[in-house]
Amino acid sequence: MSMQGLMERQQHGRLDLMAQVRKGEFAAAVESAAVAYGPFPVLYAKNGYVLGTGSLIQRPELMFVAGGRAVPAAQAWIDEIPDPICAEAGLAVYRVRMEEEQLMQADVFAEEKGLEDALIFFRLGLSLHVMDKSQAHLQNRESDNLPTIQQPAVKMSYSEFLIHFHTVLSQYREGAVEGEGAELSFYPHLHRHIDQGMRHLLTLMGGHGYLRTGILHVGYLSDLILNLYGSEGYPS
Amino acid sequence: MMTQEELAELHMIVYDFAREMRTVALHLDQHPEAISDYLHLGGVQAMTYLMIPPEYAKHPPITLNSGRSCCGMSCMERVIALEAFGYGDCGMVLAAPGASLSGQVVLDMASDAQKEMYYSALLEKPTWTFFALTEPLKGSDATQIHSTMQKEEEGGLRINGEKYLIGNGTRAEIGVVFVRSNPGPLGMEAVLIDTSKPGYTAKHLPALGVHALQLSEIRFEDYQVSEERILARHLRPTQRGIWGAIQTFNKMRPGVAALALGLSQAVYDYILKNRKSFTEAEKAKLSALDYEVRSVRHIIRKAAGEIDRNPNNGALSSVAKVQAVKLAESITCEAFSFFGPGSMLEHPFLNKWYRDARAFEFMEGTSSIQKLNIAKSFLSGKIRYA
Repeated sequence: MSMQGLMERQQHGRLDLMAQVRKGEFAAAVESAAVAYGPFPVLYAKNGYVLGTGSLIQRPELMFVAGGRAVPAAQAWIDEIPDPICAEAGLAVYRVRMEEEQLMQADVFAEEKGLEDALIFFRLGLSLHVMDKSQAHLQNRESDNLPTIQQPAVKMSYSEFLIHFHTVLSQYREGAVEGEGAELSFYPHLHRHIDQGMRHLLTLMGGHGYLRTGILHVGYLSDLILNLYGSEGYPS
Repeated sequence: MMTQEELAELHMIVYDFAREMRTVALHLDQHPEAISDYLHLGGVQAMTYLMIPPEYAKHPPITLNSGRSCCGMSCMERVIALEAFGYGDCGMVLAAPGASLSGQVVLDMASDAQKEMYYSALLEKPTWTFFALTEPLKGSDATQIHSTMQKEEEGGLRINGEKYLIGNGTRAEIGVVFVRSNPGPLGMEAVLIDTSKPGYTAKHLPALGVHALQLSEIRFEDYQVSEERILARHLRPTQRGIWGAIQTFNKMRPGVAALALGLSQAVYDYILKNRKSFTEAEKAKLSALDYEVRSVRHIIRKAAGEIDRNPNNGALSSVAKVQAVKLAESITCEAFSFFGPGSMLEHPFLNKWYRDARAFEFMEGTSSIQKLNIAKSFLSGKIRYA
């Protein structure tokens, strides 16, 4: 496959991932992303943590990727950190320790970049999920004799979100802007915009959003992913 | 009015309660029903009898060295106490038995006979209460209540409707519900409810945080009530119903802000206690956070003083609530950056505070409602700077 062909395939893969997360299929999205970049399922073990699913972690051919290296999951020391909110979303977080001698040198740079990209698109998908859910909620509500969705303040919140969303997508497509440290700032910049956009959505469902059926749980997942895998420089 | 020394002493007393509450906060978060096992704690006992006027309470919940009793009757007393309680565990504070929001409505709107009945119930044994205004379809818009109270042909009244996001709804024995008896803003009534009577049901609504509070959905189906249960019958029509709700929110809002502030202070202290050294950038960030905490405390106390002077002027308490909520939400996120990757799960208190902090936005009016209040006060000339 040509380089351009590969890039197009990856781009499609990321958009598919975002669409799957948008539909609320969080676990399925993690599982599809894990098998999207090579012959073996791969999970990102940056910072010693892995976000995965119960079934993925049991697959004997699973590999962990971190710091340009890969190690078979079977050789790593894995410990689940219980979290009810992840569990409800079908996800699980694991503490992972890989011994130095067990690590095998592998040319996995492309996969690692792919995984960084997947995080961006997973979080974008989460924000779209929140947008859809809040829209569905507000569609049937009224305030001051106007559908709540038509209230200027609500429209402003959606616009603010869309500005950040569009910024992330267009920056991603263009790559890092030129200048000193641009490469290092690339992912932190995208994550920051995702956070800022999400913030405009999370209050739209009022107290309903705080319930288990609401959207703040999704905001929690988005923050958790960033906390586990946070790019160098953000949050700091 | 309490002196500065007395307020400081009150803070220290409650702070001692708070430390004890903190030791069981995580357990209560996982097992909300365990609140019944913690009724002996000093903090829970104080909450149980707070906001019961001294003329009804035999023993004040807190007595200062000067002999002065503290029942939480002034907004200033409440913000001092609630900040310290919030430092301990806001989940336990909100889940404790006692008067809480409904107590403020009773205080402002109940007749002597109604007060006697309400406070007797609270003093007899630890009793949970509820305050039910929000409805599933109308959120914070208090003027759009759909729940009804209608007269029956054979006499008496019947309440029908649904209330949403009500704290302690499943464990409360008594409470206040806002219903509509007639169209228009004056057609709203506040009614004292006995939850043991037929027609009252409550269902728990699982939430992101403050699990101990047991947010609930309440239903009234042909709930029969007598006229004696309607509050504020002795007051002018303009001082009933929605007026009571607004007054209650104005008076209690700084308390919510104080809870959020207490939580923020707890996060700040946790960072200091659990990190051995800090980089220069971290020191600068900590210094900014500390300043922010102090600044919000200043605003809350100003707001409380203003409410004690004039409960109709809620603009400053809206400012205080918006700022305190913003601080609690931001500091709970900032804290993770001090402890690095995985800290959201590896530090159970930080995780709990993150989840709890996001509840304040929805208590006693969202930030959007507060901002509308502030704009309204400004445009009507209630806020003046020169």
